[in-house]
Amino acid sequence: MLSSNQLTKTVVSQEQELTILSEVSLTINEGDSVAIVGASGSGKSTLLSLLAGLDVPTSGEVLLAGHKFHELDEDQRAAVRAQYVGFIFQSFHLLPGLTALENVMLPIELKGQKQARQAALKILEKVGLKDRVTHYPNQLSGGEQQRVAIARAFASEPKILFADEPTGNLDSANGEKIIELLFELNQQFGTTLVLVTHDLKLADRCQKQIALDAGKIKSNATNLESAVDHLNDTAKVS
Amino acid sequence: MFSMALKNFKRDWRAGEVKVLFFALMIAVAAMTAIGVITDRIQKSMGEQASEFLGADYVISSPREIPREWLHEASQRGLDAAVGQSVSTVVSKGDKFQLVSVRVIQDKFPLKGQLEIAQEAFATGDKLQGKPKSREVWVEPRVLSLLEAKTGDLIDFGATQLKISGVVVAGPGQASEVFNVAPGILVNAADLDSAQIIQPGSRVQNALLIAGELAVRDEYISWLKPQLNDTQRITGGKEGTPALQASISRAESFLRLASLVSVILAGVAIAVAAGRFSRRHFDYAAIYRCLGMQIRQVHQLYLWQLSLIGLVGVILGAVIGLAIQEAIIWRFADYLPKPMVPISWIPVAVAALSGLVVLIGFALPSFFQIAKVPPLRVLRKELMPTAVSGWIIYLLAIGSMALLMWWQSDSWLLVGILLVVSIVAFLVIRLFAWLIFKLGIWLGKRSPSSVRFGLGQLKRYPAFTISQITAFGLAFMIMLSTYLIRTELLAEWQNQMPENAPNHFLINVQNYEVEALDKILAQNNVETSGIYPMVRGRVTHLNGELASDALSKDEYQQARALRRELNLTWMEALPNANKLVEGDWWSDEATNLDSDAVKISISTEIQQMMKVKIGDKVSFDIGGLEVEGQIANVREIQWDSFQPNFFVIFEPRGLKEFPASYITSFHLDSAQKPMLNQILGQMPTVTIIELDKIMAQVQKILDQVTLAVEFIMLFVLLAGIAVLYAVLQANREERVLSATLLKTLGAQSPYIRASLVAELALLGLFSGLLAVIASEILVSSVYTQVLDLSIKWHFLYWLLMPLGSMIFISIVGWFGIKSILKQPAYQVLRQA
Repeated sequence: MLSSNQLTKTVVSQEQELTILSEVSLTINEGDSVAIVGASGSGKSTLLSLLAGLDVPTSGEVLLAGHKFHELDEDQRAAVRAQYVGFIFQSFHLLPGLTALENVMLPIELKGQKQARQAALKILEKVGLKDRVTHYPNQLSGGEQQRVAIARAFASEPKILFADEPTGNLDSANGEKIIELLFELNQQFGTTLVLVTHDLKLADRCQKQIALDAGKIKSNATNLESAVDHLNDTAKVS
Repeated sequence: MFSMALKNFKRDWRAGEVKVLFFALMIAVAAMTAIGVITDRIQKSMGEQASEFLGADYVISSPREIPREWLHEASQRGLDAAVGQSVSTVVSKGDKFQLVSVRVIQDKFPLKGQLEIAQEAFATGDKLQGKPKSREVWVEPRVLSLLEAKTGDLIDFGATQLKISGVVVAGPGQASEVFNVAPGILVNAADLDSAQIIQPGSRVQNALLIAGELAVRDEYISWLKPQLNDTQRITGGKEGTPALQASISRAESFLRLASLVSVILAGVAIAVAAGRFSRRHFDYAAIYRCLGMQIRQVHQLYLWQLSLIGLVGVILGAVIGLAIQEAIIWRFADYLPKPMVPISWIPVAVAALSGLVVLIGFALPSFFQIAKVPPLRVLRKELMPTAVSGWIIYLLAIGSMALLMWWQSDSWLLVGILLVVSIVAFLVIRLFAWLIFKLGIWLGKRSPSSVRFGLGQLKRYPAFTISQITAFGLAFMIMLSTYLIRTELLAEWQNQMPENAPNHFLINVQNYEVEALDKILAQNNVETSGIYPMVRGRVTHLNGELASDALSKDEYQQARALRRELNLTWMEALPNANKLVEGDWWSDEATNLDSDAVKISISTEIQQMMKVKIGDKVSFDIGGLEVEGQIANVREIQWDSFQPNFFVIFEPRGLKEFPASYITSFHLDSAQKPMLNQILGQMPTVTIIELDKIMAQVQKILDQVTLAVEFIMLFVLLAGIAVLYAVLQANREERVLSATLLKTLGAQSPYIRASLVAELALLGLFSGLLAVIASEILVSSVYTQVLDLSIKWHFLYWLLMPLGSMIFISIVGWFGIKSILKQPAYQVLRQA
């Protein structure tokens, strides 16, 4: 479903070249759930942005559903995103001008699907916001906003869902609810899930964990222990 | 995409996101609509009034009889039309003979305006449109004194006798025929045949008078024009009052430029507000992009939004502008020409289009930038879209400004000059802003801590601070300069038409009558503007060649002054209301002139007509004698000065030998009018020209113009405020954030308030200083270059402007932030 080969990202900062991501190769299969973990500055978000085609690598390749992201231009990548990708962000990123319903309808419409309204209503019902569809983001609590964001992410039935610290802005009770919801829907839709998180509990729910350190994959573990070990290591190092 | 844009637009509208953008656009359109419509209406209405001087909207004159089909066609089109003739003849009573110009009325006269027919000279009479009955005549007052007649007397008119049944005390034609020497009489066409005054060879001018709806009569004139031959001429309403043209056109250019200034100010406000709007929408665009929207689609979305803003802003602006001009016309109905012509949609359309041009020129670059935001911004908020090339921004803004200026001025040269001046001025002002800023920092080092904090805030982003000072300074400068120029312009108009401006002319005063005239004037406490000698002569040769040969046929046809007798005079010194534009006044040192030639001074009009230059020789035929003069200089005459003005002035030795009559002008109140009878009684050949009625008209028009100037100030002020508000609004977030940070760090309200107000006040002080310096420079150059005034300093404003600007920016800026400071700090920080 998603793979990267020798993915490298360098930036020039104050006339110095800084390598943020170095030769990252990974493969994520359809239906997998993968957590990318690592300390702040380890390159998690950069990796996510490259995998989702939000940014372009300095070198290396990204393949998403057969599309070579590294060969596409902005608009072509956007078209691929519209077709296959959903997002959940730490700060929700709902459009303040649109109601909960309109926010959820947007990706469906962008994908060119009909009956956007019915589909959006259906999924909003699933996330328990049936009664709040006409509310604007600023009329919703943080937890509710993230639920709208989840509904939006699943609304277009994406093949792959990227989540960047989805519980980062929520208290633990709300965070747990969101995690439950995320995995429930993930299972239901059979979506491939790639999430970046600090939250070990959340990482633990994923089938696979990728630990990053200073832009390199430290471990590509399938169990939590190794990931935790890795995190502890990096904590010590840093 | 449109429905989404509509939704976003509604939401932004509710949230006040587009408030400033909208306000600025509305001001621009409202100002242009109101000014455009009102000047258009006043101008056309004045045209109507001018028609009253002419007696019709158009007069078509022809030496041959007016074809019947012209009259027929006019009637067909629903126009009011009348034909008449004018001819010169001699009338007599007893042993008194007088050459008069006869207006023969077939239908009625005038079609526009009225005749005032009284029973004796200089009295009040009945106002009417019509003609004397058959066998009766209406005469101008001086005919009575010249013939020693009174109403009721019979005079000989060719082979018949007519009874004087009225005196024409006011009527059309007087303004345009100020120096028409022969006094006029009006007769009924029915008496023409029996009078037998028209013989083969008589010089008869036939006239077709036309009046009616603007559009219809203009169509008629365009139908008629191709059928005219060289000898036939159309006189339009406006040409009826040449004296008014200068004042009106000057006021018009001030109005147009001032409206342009308000539009440019609004443009700046739009640019600033659009910048803010676009920055606030980067996040939205990033999400759209992230969710898979293509750049083209985001562009579409925001261009639709811009179009909606444009559409609603332009419509509302136009409606407000129309409402304002209607209110002004209603409120000041007494001062405005009557009847007011209806609104024409052309100025409204021009205003709406100009509004869109401003919006596109100043807002499009910012809107265009939104879609270029990288989608990665959803993860990294610091990412900004690639900036639109500075060249594109400036080209668009300058291009749209140029287009607007051209619309307003209709002259690419003026546009070029204005643009170069604006760009240089902008750079100089930025330099000044930088200097003032540096100086302020240097001076502020020893100030209290809150002031130092305020300065520190400004110092943190010097480029940004200098931009703010420039923007505020420019806005204040434009407001102040417009105000100062307006004040000076109004004062100048008052001077130009002082209470005792000459309103009566005496011509044909003979040498031996000068003394007696002086005595009468002295008895009545009347002061003159001087008594000038006058000789009548005709131009015959240019540089020794017959004038009709020296010029092309067309040029000669155009040069009407060459085909009639000119009033020539001689003078020692350059008269008032005349300005030398080329050459020197009687100077013996002029090397390019023959030392023994008689020097003459010509007006710019004559120069253009005769296509001559300094050093050229012009010959005149004065009473059969030939005089040659060499052009020593060219004068520009202020025709609206109401003083005797001359196309050609000789140096004193040139004409002294010729028998001259004299001309003078003076001011008379209506109560002093009987003095005119005294003058005519003693010296019946003197011609009196009464200009008091025309001058009252001029005064009224100046009042109207003053009013228009006053109200355009309002728009300039509003547009200036829009700029100030937009700039303050654009930086509000930064101020709120830094104040909140201070709060989080434990600073208490009074300290925060003091430091914020200090920052704003310092901005105000710097921009106020900048504004006053820049205004002085700008206003001085306008005074010297445009208004012909000497430089004046406005010391009071050196105090008032910085103070006012400090207070304004502090108060408006503070109120924009105040409420936010009351919110808990964490909330503000979270939103940020």
